[in-house]
Amino acid sequence: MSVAEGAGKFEPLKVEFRMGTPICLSYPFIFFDGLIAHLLWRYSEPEDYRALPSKRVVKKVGELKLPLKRYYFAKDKFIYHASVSIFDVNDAYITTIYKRFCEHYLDLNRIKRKKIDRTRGHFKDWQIKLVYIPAKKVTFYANGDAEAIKMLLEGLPGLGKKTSIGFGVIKSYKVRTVKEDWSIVRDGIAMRSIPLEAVEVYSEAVPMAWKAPYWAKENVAMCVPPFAICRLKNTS
Amino acid sequence: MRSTFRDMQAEEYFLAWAETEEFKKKVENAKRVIQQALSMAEKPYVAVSGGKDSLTVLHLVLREKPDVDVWHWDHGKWLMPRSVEQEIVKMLRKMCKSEQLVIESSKSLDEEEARWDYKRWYRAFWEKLDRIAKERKWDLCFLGIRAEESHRRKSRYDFFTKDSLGLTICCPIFDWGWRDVWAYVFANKLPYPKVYDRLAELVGWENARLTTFFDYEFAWKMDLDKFVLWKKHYPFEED
Repeated sequence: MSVAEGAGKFEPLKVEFRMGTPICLSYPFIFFDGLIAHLLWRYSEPEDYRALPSKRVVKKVGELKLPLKRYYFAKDKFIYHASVSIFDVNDAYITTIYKRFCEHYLDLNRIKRKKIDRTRGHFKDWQIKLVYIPAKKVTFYANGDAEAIKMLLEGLPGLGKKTSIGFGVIKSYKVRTVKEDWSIVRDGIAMRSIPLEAVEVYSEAVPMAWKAPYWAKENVAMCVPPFAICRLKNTS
Repeated sequence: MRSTFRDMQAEEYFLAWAETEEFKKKVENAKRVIQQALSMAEKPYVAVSGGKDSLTVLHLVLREKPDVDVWHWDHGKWLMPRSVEQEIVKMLRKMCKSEQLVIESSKSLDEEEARWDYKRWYRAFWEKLDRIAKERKWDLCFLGIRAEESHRRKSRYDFFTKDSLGLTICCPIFDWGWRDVWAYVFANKLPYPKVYDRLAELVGWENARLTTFFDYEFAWKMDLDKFVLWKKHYPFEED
């Protein structure tokens, strides 16, 4: 089955996740198109995915065609119809995790050195402060191919950061079609980061990424942040 | 709703703390230190960042010397969001007259490099401060530094110290804890930047500190800054 753009019918969707544990984040939002891009890459290139550089965007990744509708605001520029995460709680808390050298699996690492430096280098200990959100339900709005999205979401291990230590465990999820498309704007409120180029009225602007990968510096521009007031230009 | 409840709890707690003998003694001591400093100086000034500590010191000093000069440094748009800066300036204009207020900045802070090149603002800040201190003949500086904030501050400062230029530095709330400062703020209904409420929600009132935003000098709190500045309440009800 192909999950490329245009393979199925695009329709307004609501994706709901029921969470088993809090979600750990280093950013206030999870972007649904970022999530789908990540899953699509894992699905289409399972081997290359493990060998991607961590600080540079591979051209192929930037050009992924997602099973989501596009909104063109300039000749070659578009954003996907995909909202950011909507949590059922407004609270956020801080937790600290400690990454320490563990001698338990030392034999598996085949280390020849007799002394391990834990203050720097590969085995450095870390104390990391992380923000977590005790959400029980996370909602996304999108406009895309429901079947392709359902298939991709099957491979999703969890939501947010540090899923390997138990954060962001998904209990269940459902993808259902809805009447209205609230994936970019809902009643005058931005549902994702939208570049200023695409809007004519806005209440505020901050430097944010507007397309996947959202960690990449080159994707940052002045944008209307999610849940701020805005009105799109009439270009599509 | 929950955050409002937490704020109410905090206000009640701090107002109760303001009734304690321990707190009252600290306020009296701070007043004595300020009076002593004022007797030593002819032209003192208060350095105000806009944080809770410096606003407390400003309020305490204004009670003793209503015409004291007030120095405020604007870190520029990259390090201090304009909404926060405007709020601080508005508060200062409410607390003192315009002829008392000296607000300075540097054009070099308008470039994004200011975020990681922190020597840039140190240089600009000290050059401007040195020049204005000479022009206005300032001979004593009131600062909102507290020993509790860091070990470095505890070892470098005291109620009275001298800086590298030979200027006397007076820290009237040097022995205050975070509870004392918030108790003073709430008991005297002092205005404070709204960003504190959002910070307190995340890290608690004891750790809520106002510093520059998205500053590589405080890289450990950059994730926090995104939550404090960008996270907004979703205005719709989900079924």
